[in-house]
Parts: sequence; structure tokens; C-alpha cells
Amino acid sequence: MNSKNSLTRSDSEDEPRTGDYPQIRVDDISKTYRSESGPVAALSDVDFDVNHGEFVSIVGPSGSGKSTIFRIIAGLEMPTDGAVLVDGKPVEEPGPDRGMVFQDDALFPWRTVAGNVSYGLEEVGPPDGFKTDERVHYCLELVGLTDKAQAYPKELSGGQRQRVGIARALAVDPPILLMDEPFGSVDARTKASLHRELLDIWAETKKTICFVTHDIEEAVYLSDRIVVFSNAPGTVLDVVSVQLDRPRDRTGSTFTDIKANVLSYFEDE
Amino acid sequence: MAGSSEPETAGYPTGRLRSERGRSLGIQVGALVVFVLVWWAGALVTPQNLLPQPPVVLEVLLEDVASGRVFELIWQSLRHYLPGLLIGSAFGMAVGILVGWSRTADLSVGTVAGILRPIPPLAWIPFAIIWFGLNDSGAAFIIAIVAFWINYYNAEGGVKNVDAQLLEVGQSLGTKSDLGLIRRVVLPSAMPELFTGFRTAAGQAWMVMVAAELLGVPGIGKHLWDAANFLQMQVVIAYMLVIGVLFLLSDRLIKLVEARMLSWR
Repeated sequence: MNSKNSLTRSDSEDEPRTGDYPQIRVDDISKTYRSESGPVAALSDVDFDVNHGEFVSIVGPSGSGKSTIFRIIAGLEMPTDGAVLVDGKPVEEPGPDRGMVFQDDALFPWRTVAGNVSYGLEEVGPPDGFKTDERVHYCLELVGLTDKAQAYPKELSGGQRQRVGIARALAVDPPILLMDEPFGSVDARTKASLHRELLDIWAETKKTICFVTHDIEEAVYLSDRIVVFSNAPGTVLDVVSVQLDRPRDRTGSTFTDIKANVLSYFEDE
Repeated sequence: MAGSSEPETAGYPTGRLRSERGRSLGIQVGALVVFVLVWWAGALVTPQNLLPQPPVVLEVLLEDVASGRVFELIWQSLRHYLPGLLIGSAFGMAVGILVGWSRTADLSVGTVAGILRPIPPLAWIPFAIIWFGLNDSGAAFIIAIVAFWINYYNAEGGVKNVDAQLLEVGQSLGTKSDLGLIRRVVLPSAMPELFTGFRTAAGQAWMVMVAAELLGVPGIGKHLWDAANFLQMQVVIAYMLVIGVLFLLSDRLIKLVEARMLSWR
């Protein structure tokens, strides 16, 4: 990730590069669940945009509804009120334009690494200019797992499984990558190298990434902007811009200032 | 072995693993020997027509193997065992998958199944006789009912246990239809339960087969009942052992296929 690239990306915040619509528009979303003790509000008037090629994190305490907003953008749940627009079109169901990566990898255990990556290609075909096996190889190369192509998920470490999950989501070349606490259950060292790899992949593939996490340092390290969620019902407290060149120094003063700023929203809770 | 921290894996059983296997085999053989000795001792103090001694039973077995009679009887039994097991299992799996997948099917078919389930398979014998007659089809029908229920419940459970997140991944990667999700996510995911159901059914089917042949359908069970009527208990025990061996063989065979197909576990 060089600084020129990151400048281009922060410039793009004000001027979307393609079309008149942001890549993802979360338009005044509310979500209420019915429960035995009456309705429970999970999200209330949530409103933000994610621009083309942008890396946006959603942070919040557990129970802040950040996973709910992930599921609504993914099309796995419908909002009670409001809508999610992807390139101006309302989201109604999950689809190959939004790749998903989950916290507990969710790999198909009966498929090899290569088989997992090729699943989506078998459904919608490889992207233009690729054959299926070329595409599988390319995606495994992106995550550095070509030598594990024939292994089954049970033979992999936690970090490797997450890499396969990312490769699988990227295989059908979706413009958007939705990630729900993808590194929440890997150890600190693996996490740091996964961060660097994810930024490299982002630079190489120019995806729009929407990244849900409760780890504020992770959000500051990775994102162009951070959407800060409140406790339930989830509302957007603030959207923090991180205007730092990459690779970022986790101990730098601006870095720690931004981290402290985001953290301050949660301290009195 | 000493000092090695790596656990021994599949491949070459060495050191402790090999002695562990030797120990297990020793216990198994020992138990069988004790079983035969206890039987023998009991038979010595019991009239021969109530409990025959092991050598007498062995003689029957050797004679019938030499004459080919054992194999003829096994073949006669297989003629209703296999169709009953396969047809019952196929229907059981199909209905079980449907009920596990669709809430409507669960409420409708599942409710009816809940009422029919407690009926003992042998209570269907009158229907087997009037619908199919005293033949292979009638016996296969009884065996199929047993196979149906075991496969039905395992398939239903297997489908209901499919990780919801895997279905969501499948959808996000472009699998739209119910049939597509069942074929590409649900079936492979539920395969271990389907195998367990089939293997259990294959075992239970040997047992119910003996009862079904009581109707007069030729096979091992019929032969066993006929011998009992003439108080030839050495023949009864000989064919009890044959059924035991058939059970073990079919169980091992299915386990072997299972291990091959489910190597990803």
C-alpha cells in the first residue's frame, strides 16, 4: 500500500468515481425485533454512505446492532424502516455483488480449499477473462495459500481459514466486501499480518470494504472512515475520518489521538 | 517414542500405538473365548435339546457351508433384505430431508409422522400379507418400514442441524433456489447423519428380517423358525451366529464407505 494510492482513496470520499450513487447508501434504517416482552429496537435511524473503493469500518460495543446492519446490507435481513441501496438499487436478498466474510470462517468443511473458492464460480461463472481454475489460483495467490489448495478446512489454522474465506468471497469479483468481525477470533500476531494482507488485497483489487468490528485499533489501522455506533438501539454517533498514510504506525501520535477520540464515545457507558 | 511431543498420526502404527492396538485385540479375543467357555460350561449341565454345546453348533455350520446351504439361505434373505432396506431408506431420507427443510412439511407431514411412528413395524404384518402376500415383497415391506423411520429421523435431524451461516454463504455466492441450496449445501452438510441413519437401518433390518420371515417367506429366519419347531437348537444357534456375522459385515462395509466419502471430517 503506497501513499499515492491512499491519497487517491481519500480524495474519492467527496467525489464518487463511478455513477452518481455511492457504492452503499444506508438510508435511514430502523430495525425492531418482536420479542415476548414487546418490541426491541436494534437500530434507529441509521444513515451513512460508503463510497466506491472506500474502506469503512463500523465500530460499536457488543449489542450495538453493528452485526444487524451487516446482515441488512448483506440482504440476510430486511429493515423495519428505510432501505439499503447498492449503486442506487435497493437490496432485497443476498447476492454475489456483495461478498461476505464471517467471524467464524463459515467454510464448507466438505470442500477443499480450492473447492471452497470455486463454489461461487460454479454458480455465476468466472469473471471476464478468467477460467475457473485460473481464478481459483489467482484468489489463492492473493491470500498466499496456493500450497493448501487441496487441503480440507479442518487441516488449516484459524488465520488460514479466514484467508480462505476472503479468497472465496473475492472469487466472483464482487465490487463490495462485507466483513463481520473477521479477525475476532485469531491471535494478535496473526491478526496483525492479516491486517497487512487485507490492505494489500484491497489495494490490488480496489474493492469497497465494509468492515464490522469492536476492536477500535483495528478500525483505525484499516479504515478510511469509521462509523461509530451507540449502544442499543444502534444509532450513528459520529463518522470519523482517518486521514493517515498507509502503512500506519499504531504508536504514532495522530493514530493514538484518533483511537482515543473514538474510544471516548464508549467510556461513559 | 520417548521424548517425542508429536502425537502419532495415521499411517504407521508404531510404539505405543501398536501396543495399544494389540491390547485392544487381546481383550476382544479374550472376551469371545470367555463367552464360548461360559456357553460350553452351561451346556454341559443342561440337556442337549435346550442348549447345545459349541462343537455341535460348529458341526452344523461346517456342514451347511460345505453343502452351500448357508449361502443359499443368505441369498434367499437378501432378496427381501436388500430391496426393503434400499427402498425404505430412500423414501425415509427423501421425506426426512423435506420435513427438515420446509416448515410447512414439518407441520403437515411431520405431524402425521408423529402419529404413525409409535406403531411397531410388526403391526404392519397384516397389511404386508393382504397387500403383498407371503412372499419377498411382503417381507421387504416390513423391512422397508423399519428402514424408513430410522432414515427419516436421521435425515430430518441432519437437515435441521445444518449451520445457518453456510446457507447464507451459499446464497451470497449465487445459489438462489431451494433445490440448489439442498443439493449444494444441505446434502453434503447432512451426509454424516444420513450415513448414520442408513447404517443403523441396515443393522435393524437384519433383526426385523427374522421376524418378517416368520410369515413363511424363505430365508435365514424361516430356516431358524423351522429348526426351532423340531427342537434342533444347534441349527437355531448356528443361524443366530450367521445373522450376527452378516450384521457385522454390513456394518463394517458401510463404515468403510463412510470413512472414504467423509474424509473431510
